[in-house]
Parts: sequence; C-alpha cells; structure tokens
Amino acid sequence: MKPAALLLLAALSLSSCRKSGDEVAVEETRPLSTMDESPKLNATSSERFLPPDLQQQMPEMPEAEGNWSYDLPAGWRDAGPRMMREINLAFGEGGEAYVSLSGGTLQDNVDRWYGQFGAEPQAVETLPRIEMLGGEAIVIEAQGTYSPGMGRPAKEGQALLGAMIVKDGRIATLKLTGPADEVASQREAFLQFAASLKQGE
Amino acid sequence: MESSVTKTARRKSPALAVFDFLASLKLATVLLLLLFVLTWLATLEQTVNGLRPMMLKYFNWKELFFFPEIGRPFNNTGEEQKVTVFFPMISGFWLCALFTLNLTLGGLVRIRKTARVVPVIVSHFSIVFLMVAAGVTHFMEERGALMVYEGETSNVAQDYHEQVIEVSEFANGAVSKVHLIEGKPLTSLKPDETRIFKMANLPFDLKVSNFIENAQPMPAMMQPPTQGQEVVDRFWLRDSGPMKETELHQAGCFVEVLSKEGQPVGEKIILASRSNYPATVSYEGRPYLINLRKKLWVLPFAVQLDEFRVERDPGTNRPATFESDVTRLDGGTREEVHIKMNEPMRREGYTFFQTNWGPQDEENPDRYYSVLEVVKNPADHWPLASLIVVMAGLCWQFGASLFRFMSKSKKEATS
Repeated sequence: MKPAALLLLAALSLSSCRKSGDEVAVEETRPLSTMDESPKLNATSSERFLPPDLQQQMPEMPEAEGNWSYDLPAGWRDAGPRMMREINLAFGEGGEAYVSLSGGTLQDNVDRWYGQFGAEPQAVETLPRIEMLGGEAIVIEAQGTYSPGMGRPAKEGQALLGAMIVKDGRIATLKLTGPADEVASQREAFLQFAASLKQGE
Repeated sequence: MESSVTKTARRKSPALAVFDFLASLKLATVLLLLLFVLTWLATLEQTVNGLRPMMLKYFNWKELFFFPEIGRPFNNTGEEQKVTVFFPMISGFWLCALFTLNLTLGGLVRIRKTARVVPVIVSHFSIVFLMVAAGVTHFMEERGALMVYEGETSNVAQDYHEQVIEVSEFANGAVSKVHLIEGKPLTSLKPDETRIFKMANLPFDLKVSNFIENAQPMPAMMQPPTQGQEVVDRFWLRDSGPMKETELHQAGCFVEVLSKEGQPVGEKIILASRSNYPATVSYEGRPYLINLRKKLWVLPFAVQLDEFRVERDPGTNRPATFESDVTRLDGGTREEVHIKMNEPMRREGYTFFQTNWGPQDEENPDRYYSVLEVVKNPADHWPLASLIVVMAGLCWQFGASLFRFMSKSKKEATS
C-alpha cells in the first residue's frame, strides 16, 4: 500500500507543476459583437488612458522636463517640439538628432536600438564611452534598415549614432539617425554636442 | 477446521477492505468534520485574501493540500496581518469528491434495500446529486456582466476575471475579424517575463512583456515613475497590487509587434484594461486594433434596455429597488421582459440577474444604464431539484416513522 500511496502523492505533486513556454500559438477568434461597432482608430495614449478633463491638461504641460543647454553644431537646426523628445534637431537632408528620457535599463534600451536595425544585441560593458551630462555615456552604432516603429515605414541605408547614460534614475539618450553617409559625416558634431549638453543649468 | 474457516471469513480481500473503508460511516464522520474545519478556515481566510482567491485555493483540484492563511486582527499598527497556519489542510475539492464517493458507496450501493429505507436512499441520492451539481458548477459555470444604456442594445457580456488580448482586423472601415489571446498564457507571465504569441492568421506576431494583473497607466509628466519603470509614449504602468475583490483587477502590459521573422517592427505599446480606446498599429499599410480587456462572450441574442427605474428609500439616496424593462431581440423575434432583483430572465441556458446600475452619483441623470449579471451554468436548476427531492425523502421518512409510532401506540392502547 505504501508504494501506491507514494506514487499517488508524486502524481498529484507533478500535476501541480505549471509549464509555460516562451511561444504560444494563437488561432482562436471570437464572433463580432455590438462592442465592435464604431471603434475609434488612432487614439493617442492620452485619449486611451486619461479621462477627458485630464486629456485637456496634457498638451498644456511642457514637453521638456528640465532646462537643457547645448552648443548647436554647424549644420544642425531646431526641428520644433515633438512628443517624448526633450530636444529635437535635424541635420542634412534626412538626418535627425534628438535627446529623450526613458525608463528601463541601459541594456533594455541598447537592445531596442539594435533591434530597430535588425542588429545583434551587444552587452553594455563592451560598448565604447564618451563624455556626456557629467558622466561616461555608452555609444551605440548601427547601420542597415531602420525600423523606427510607431507605424512609420522602415528605411534602407540608414545609420545610428547614439549615446546613453543613466541620469537621476532615468535613461538620457542622444540619438542621431539618417542616411548612412550623412550620419557618418556628423561624428565630430555628435561628440561636440554630447560634450556641451547640460541639464538644469 | 472450524478456526481456519473463521480466519478466512475474517480476512477480507484488499478490494473489499477498500470498499468497506470508502463506504464506512467512520469515513463520513471524519470527512464531515474536516469539511467543517475547512469551512471555518475558509471564512477566516476570506477576510484577508478575498472570496475568489480563497475559493481558488481551497477548491483547487490540482493540489492535494494547502496551508491556510488567516488574519490576526490585533497587531501593533491596528492593521489586519496575514498569518500562515502550518497545518496541511486537504483540498476542499478532494474532500467533497471523497464525500460524494462515500455517500454513493455507503448510502446507495451498500445500504440494505428494503421498502423501509427507500426514503433514506432517496435523500442520499439527492445529496449526491447536489454534490455533482456543485462539481459541474465548479468546472463549467461562467459569470459576467452585460452593461447597456437606455435605448441601446448589447449582445455581449464581459467576464469578471479573465483578461485577454484582442487583435481586430478591418475591412471596409469596420471590424471584420477579432483574434483572441486567452487569459491563461497571459496571467501565467511574471512581470519580468516575455512571451511571444504566434498569430496563426495574422501577418505579424505579438511579444508581450511586463504583464501586471492589476495595473494603472500613469502619465509620466504628472506622476513620474517611482521605481524606474519604463515609460512608453509618456505613460508607465503602476502595479496597483492584488485586491480582495479580484473582479476589480484591470491588467496592463507592454506589447511589441514582430514580423514573422521575429524582428520588432514598431515601438512598444502599453495595453491596459483601464483604457478608453484600443491601441492602433499599422502593418503593411493596414490598421489593426489591439486591446487588453476582460473576456467578452457573445450571446445568441441581443438585449435592448427600454427603461430603467430605481426607487429610493424616502429621504435618502439609498436604492430600495431597481428594475429594467428590456426587449430580447433574437433574429426577427422580439420579446419584452421585466427584470428585477430576485426575478431574473432565463433564456437559452443564460440567466440575467439585475445586479447594478448607474450613474449612481447623479439623482436624475439624462440616461441610466443597467448592469445585468449573466450566468451560464448547465447545473443552474439542479440544486433546486435536489432540495425538492431531499425534502420529499425526509418528509416520507419522518411521515412513515410517525405513522408507525402512532399505529404502535394505538395497538398498545387497544390491547
């Protein structure tokens, strides 16, 4: 009887384990309902997550969270305010340079940037460093087809030259993207801009 | 010779011994005592963990036993503190299953079948039937809510608990197909895990990460992240923690659209059940809606709310009674039905109970909405049938005993 009881216990313990794979195949659909009528397309995050009275307040808030100062390199120009960008600049015919703040870890953001170029991710420790915002920022470079996301189409022959540093618990990033030859020609300007960049002064 | 016969008679076969044990009154007594303890602990645990988490833990068929948790009401801060009772309590599911087996074997199979015990057998049968009804309800019952405004029609109920991701396709400016990621592979994700959902009938796949069972999307400009949470398009997800009323949980997660080769083709998107609208993504020039919400069940007919009425207690805002006049629309058939508290509408296997209404913060709103709880349970009427049968069996038993007693007394008096 004892072995049988042990077997029963083992079987019940095993059945309590949960297995979860990293991939799940999805084939299920559901019938259409009255809740599928007149859906709202292209709702912004504010429209999706905030009640109407707070949505009205959102555009009034400053896009930038701090006072930024920098030396504008020759050939760069202000590209006007843009959501999620602290500083938004442009260069050449199709290049853009911007500073933004994001969450997560350095490695998360590095992986995301390389992923946008379909490049293999690299460990933060192996990346070169430059001076930026009073510390050592890591430098990320990639070339190829750039998929910026947010519904924007992918572009071929692009390059990325960027820097990231942890500042006050968030990730400050400087990102140059554009045609590969234009980005390559801006390396000195990129280093000069990064060295001049300051916040809260 | 005589002693060997006695020994053989005493030594039962193992199968018979197991049968006798399972059918015994002793086992029934122990099981009833354990069920009493289980009920007592469940009542205590419900106060600290909530009703549904307690039910899932106490009646989990996948586990043989568990350690109860109860609240310690008097601590230094005055808050209720959770205390684990290190007593391995047998799962209520298995206690009930064993009790049902015990009652079947002892009260139906082994019982001596004479005319006198027929009412006892009937009563035992109805209790077994009641336990089976409870099992069917445990595994098959679905509950959700249908919310509809006056003058509007709805054919859909929303589950109270299961959170799913829906991806809607468009054709000619309208939703043409809705693909569904079920709740289990989502809720089994821990916040630091990711899972890729290979969408068989869509040109892209989805990568889900940072799944939080009860989350609130927060605008980073108004309330910056408190623990370095990732900000996506000016919002981040705050983990609101588990609540006792788990039906109030609203999940949140990050989603990335992947090409079939596994390459990300867009920025991360926040999905949250607490959303006014779904997220829109564009893939190969076509728009898709992605939504995280409580699971919808589409009903075989629609319900139109014609009028909602609420009567309040005099001099207060407290509702005394509330009721809905609805029209059930089933193809070309129209049926007017009145639904009020304790007077549900039962149609096609679904029961609609009047459960809530709104807006409750306005005394005379322009338009009311009514919330009907929709229940689908194959064993809906089984407990009622079981109770009628057990009542009949007991009346029969007590009536027969009374009749026998009175006949005996009369006989003794005449002799």
